[in-house]
Amino acid sequence: MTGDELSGDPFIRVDDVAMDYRVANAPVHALRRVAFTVTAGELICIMGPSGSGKTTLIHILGGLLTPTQGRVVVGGRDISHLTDNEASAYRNSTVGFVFQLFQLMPYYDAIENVALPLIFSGVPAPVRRERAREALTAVGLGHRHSHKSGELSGGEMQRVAIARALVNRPCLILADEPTGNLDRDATRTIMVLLKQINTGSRVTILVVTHNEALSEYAHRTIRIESGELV
Amino acid sequence: MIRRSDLLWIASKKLLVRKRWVLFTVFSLSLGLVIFTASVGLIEGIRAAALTALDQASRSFYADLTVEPKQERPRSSRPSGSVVALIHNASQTGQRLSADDEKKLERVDGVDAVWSETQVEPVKLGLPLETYHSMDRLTAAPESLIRRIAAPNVPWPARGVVPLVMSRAHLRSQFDETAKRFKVRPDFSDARYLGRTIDLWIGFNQSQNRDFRYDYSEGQPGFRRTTEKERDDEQVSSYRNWRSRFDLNIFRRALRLKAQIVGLSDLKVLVPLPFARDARRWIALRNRLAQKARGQPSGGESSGDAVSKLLVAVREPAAIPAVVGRIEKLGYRVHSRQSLIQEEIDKAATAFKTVKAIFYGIGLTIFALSCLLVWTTTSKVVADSRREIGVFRAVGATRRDILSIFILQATLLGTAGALLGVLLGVGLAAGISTAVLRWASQQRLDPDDAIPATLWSVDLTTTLLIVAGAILASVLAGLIPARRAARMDPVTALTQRE
Repeated sequence: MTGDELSGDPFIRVDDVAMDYRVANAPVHALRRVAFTVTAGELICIMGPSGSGKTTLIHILGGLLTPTQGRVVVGGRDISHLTDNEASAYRNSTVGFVFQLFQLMPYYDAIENVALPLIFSGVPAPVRRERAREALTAVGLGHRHSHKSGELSGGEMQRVAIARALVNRPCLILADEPTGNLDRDATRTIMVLLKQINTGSRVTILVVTHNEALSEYAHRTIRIESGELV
Repeated sequence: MIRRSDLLWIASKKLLVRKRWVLFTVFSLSLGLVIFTASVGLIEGIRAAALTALDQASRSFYADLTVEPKQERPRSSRPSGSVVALIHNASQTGQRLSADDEKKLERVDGVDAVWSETQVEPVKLGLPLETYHSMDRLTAAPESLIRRIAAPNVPWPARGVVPLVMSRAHLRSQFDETAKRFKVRPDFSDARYLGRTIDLWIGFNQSQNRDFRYDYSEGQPGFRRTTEKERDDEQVSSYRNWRSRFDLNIFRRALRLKAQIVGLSDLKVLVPLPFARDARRWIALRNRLAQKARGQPSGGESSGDAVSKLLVAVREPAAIPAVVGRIEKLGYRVHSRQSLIQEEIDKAATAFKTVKAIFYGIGLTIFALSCLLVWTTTSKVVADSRREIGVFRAVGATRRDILSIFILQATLLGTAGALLGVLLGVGLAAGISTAVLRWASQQRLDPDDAIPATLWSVDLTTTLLIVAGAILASVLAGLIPARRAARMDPVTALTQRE
C-alpha cells in the first residue's frame, strides 16, 4: 500500500490501547486506555514529557511492540496481533521510521543506507539503487549519495534517514524525536521537508516530540502524559 | 524476502568492518587445518615413499628365503612395531641354527642351496669407481644363485678367475662438479661392464674411495673433490691407524686375484660361497700372522658355526610357497622376500598410525579452540550489532533474515579459515617435502638411492571432508550467537547506545 493509494477515513484507529511492562518485578503502565484516530494524510505531533509513553505508542503503531490490551488498526488492518513475519512485512511495506539518533550504518554510504528497506523486500540491486537515488534527490541529497554518515552533518544524516523511510513508498511515517539532536536551522529544514512529503505524497506522518515549536507544522497535536491522552 | 546475494553482501560487509577479529579468527581456524592437511598430506606421501623404498630395498635380497629357529613370542612382549619391542624380543632370542639344521634344510624338496650369511672384507675392486661408498665387502652366495643372476650372454670365467656379480649402483655414479652431487652416469650401460675382467685384492684395507669428501662445516654442505694435500694427509693418517693394529708390511700382503663380472645386481657384490670361505680363511690367517709379527697375542678362533639364520635358494621361484610350507613343517620360521617386506610394511603402518593419531589430536585440539573462537567472534559481532539488528528489524527484516545473516557470517569465517588452512597446509607439506628431498638428494651417496619425486600427496576426499567439517563446525559454533541475534527485541536493540 502506498501513500497514493490511501483512501478512507480514519486511516489509523487506536482503540483502548494499554501497554504494561514489568521492570524488576514491578508493573509499569506505559500506556493506559489510549484511544484516538488519524485521518489519512494528516501530519500529527505527539507531545509529552519524557517517559509519558509517546515512543511506546510509536513503536506499537510501527508494529515493533504488541499492545497488552486494545486494538490498533492501520489502513484497515488490525496490527495488534501480527505474527513476527507479518509484523516485519508490515514495517517493510507500510511504515517508514525516522529516529532521533538517525540510526544510519556508519560503514554504509548514503545510498546503501537508504536502500536498506528495499533489500528486505527483495528488490533487485539496480532497481534498489535507482529508487534510493530518487529518494535521496527528494530530500535534497542527490549529490551526497556516496558519502558515509561520518561525512555528513546532523541535518544531512536525518535527511538520509528520512530518505530511507520514504524509499519503500510507505503510507505512514513514524518519526521519533527527529529533531532532538539538531540545531534550530536543521530542525526547520527537517520539519519543512516532512511537511513537503506530507503535502506532496499525502503520507500520514506522526512526529513524536517535546518541542512545542514543531506543532506549527502539524495539522493537530496529541498530548500524552503518564500514558494517558490529555 | 531477502535475496541470497544481498544476504552475502550484508554478512560480508559487517565482517569487513571487524577486520582484526576476522583475520585473527580465520588464521586461528586455519592453523588447526594447516596441521591437519600438512600432516595428512605428508604422512600419506611418506608412507607411499616408504613403500617404494621398501620395494627397492627388496631387490637387494639375494636369497629366496631366510630361515630362523622357531620361537614363541614372549608373553610380556610389547606391541609389535615398536623399537622397544624389537630390542626386547631380540634379547630373548637364544636359539641358533647349526650345521645339522643346514643339512636338514638341504634335504627339503625344492631347495637348491642353503648357506649362512658370509662376507669377505676388506677387499678392493679394480674399477674406476667414483662413489664415495667404501667398496670393501663381498657377499657370498651359492654358485647356482650366481649362475641364475649372471647375464646369459656372458661366458662363465675360466678356472682361476672369480665369477663376480657386481653392484650396479656403484658403477652408475658420476660426480657432477656443478651440482656437487652424484648423478647417474649418462653413458652407463650394463653391457659396458658385463664380461669385463677386473683386479680383485683380498685383504686390501684401503679400498675406500678417497677422492670425494662430504663437508658439513662449509656454508653449503655437500660433496666436493678432495685436494691433493687432504688425500696425502688421509693416507698418512690411515697408515698410522692401520700400523697401530697390523704389521707394517701387511699392505703388501693383499691377495691379488682376477675376477670377471658375470652379472649385475642391486647393491651387493656377490661371489661364490666356496671362494668366499677360502678368502675369509686367508684374511684370518694373514691377520694372525700380522699380530704375531707385532708381538701381540693372536685373537681366538671364531666361536663355531652356529648362526642365527640361514639363507635358502629355491630351484624354481614358482615353488617358493610350497618350499616355505615344507620348511615350516620342520619347525622353522621362514621369511620370503614378500613376507619380509610385508613385515616391514606392517611395522611402518603401525608407526604411521601412531604419528597420524598424534597429529590428528593436535589438529583437532587447535580446531576445537578455533571453533570456540568462531563462537566468540560471532558473539562479539552480534553484541556490536545490536543497533544494526534493531534498524534491520525496523525496516522489515524478519528473525529468519537476522539468523541467516549471522549464520552466514560464521560460515564465511569457517570457509575462509578452511580454504586458507588447506592451501597453507598443502603449501607447507609441499615446502617440507621439497626441503627434505633437496637435503636427501645432497646427502645421498648413490644416485640410485630411492628418493621419491615427492613426499606429500593430496587426497581429494579427505581434503573435502576436512573443509566441509570445518565449515559445519563453524556454522554450529555461530548458531547460538545467531539465534541470540534473531531473538533480540527490536525496541531494546534500537535503544542500545554504543
